[in-house]
Amino acid sequence: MSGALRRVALGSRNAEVWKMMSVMRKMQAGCSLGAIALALSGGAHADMTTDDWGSWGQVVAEGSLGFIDPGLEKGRLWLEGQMRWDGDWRHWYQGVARAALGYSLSDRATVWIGYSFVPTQNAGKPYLAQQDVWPGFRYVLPTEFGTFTFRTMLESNFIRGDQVRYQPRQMFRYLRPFDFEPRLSLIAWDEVFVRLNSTPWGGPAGFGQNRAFLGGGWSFDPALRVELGYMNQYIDSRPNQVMHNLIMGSLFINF
Amino acid sequence: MQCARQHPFGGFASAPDRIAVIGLLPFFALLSGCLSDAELLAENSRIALQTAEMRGAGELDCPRVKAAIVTEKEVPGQPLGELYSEYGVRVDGCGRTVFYDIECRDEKICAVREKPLPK
Repeated sequence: MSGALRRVALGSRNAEVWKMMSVMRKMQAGCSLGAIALALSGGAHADMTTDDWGSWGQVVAEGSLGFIDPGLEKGRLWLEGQMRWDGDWRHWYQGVARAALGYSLSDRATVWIGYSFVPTQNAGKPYLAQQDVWPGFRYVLPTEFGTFTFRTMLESNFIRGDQVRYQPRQMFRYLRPFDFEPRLSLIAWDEVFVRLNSTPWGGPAGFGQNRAFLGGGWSFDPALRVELGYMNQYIDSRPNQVMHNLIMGSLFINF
Repeated sequence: MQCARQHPFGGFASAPDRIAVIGLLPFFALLSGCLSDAELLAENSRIALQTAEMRGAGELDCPRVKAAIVTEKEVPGQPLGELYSEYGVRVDGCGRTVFYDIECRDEKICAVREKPLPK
């Protein structure tokens, strides 16, 4: 075969491979949506390899950098710590330390750049010291029916070795103070994680996990709010499916 | 016989179109209920003035005080929470003046900080 013919043949073969990859990507996206739907409907329960109870506790503090210099008033600092238990509260499995710098585009929109350290000790698995870097965006939308918050984070997860997992996550959050006691609020949110690539330690590309929360919050003053509720965490780490039923407590501080 | 309903804009609303429109209804409802900063500030200004007058009357030891909003803006409250209305309020009474920063969401959640007198 001449060089030109070989190039044409390779070109058409590449085009076929590209088409196949495109179809596979579409199927994968379809499967991911299907997995989310399955997760939300609870239909995936039959394949569940873990279904347990546990708890998450978190402290989240955020404030303007104006305390350093008035010229930095639009700068924001976000500090967060979490502890997580599973195995029906018998096993500590994860912690999170998160720090981020932000810039307020308006009183409602903030862009972020952050870092998370996530030490993880899943039962029967080796210890992982995951580190994440991420840009993020948050938008707060007050309405007559309550306040909606949209938070997007584009995580790069450094789990083990030099293979990075890219994992966007999107949160939709709703908070509505009760008319009879405005310090008490109904809080509901959902956060979806999608893995953009396959890595040996981070799982295959596609739908990653869904977190759904329903609970209540109490605002002591503009600087302090506590929340308590139930969170359902569904993780698709094929071939295993994990469902954590979690009692989640949070302390939110504005400084 | 014409089965499809005539679309108000001249075309025919197909099933996918109708589903898309129905799917977007919550989004439009959400947007229609949006509150602007001006609306939030107006909503909370009454309680901010009341709070400032009560606090000022005590601090100035003056039964008749008058409060006025000098500055106002919306600020983020606790993380992943609501916006709060922040007012700079001047209170005059019995020949004296005091300034406060007041952050309010409603009459149950207001925080007051005294500000030094502007030079």
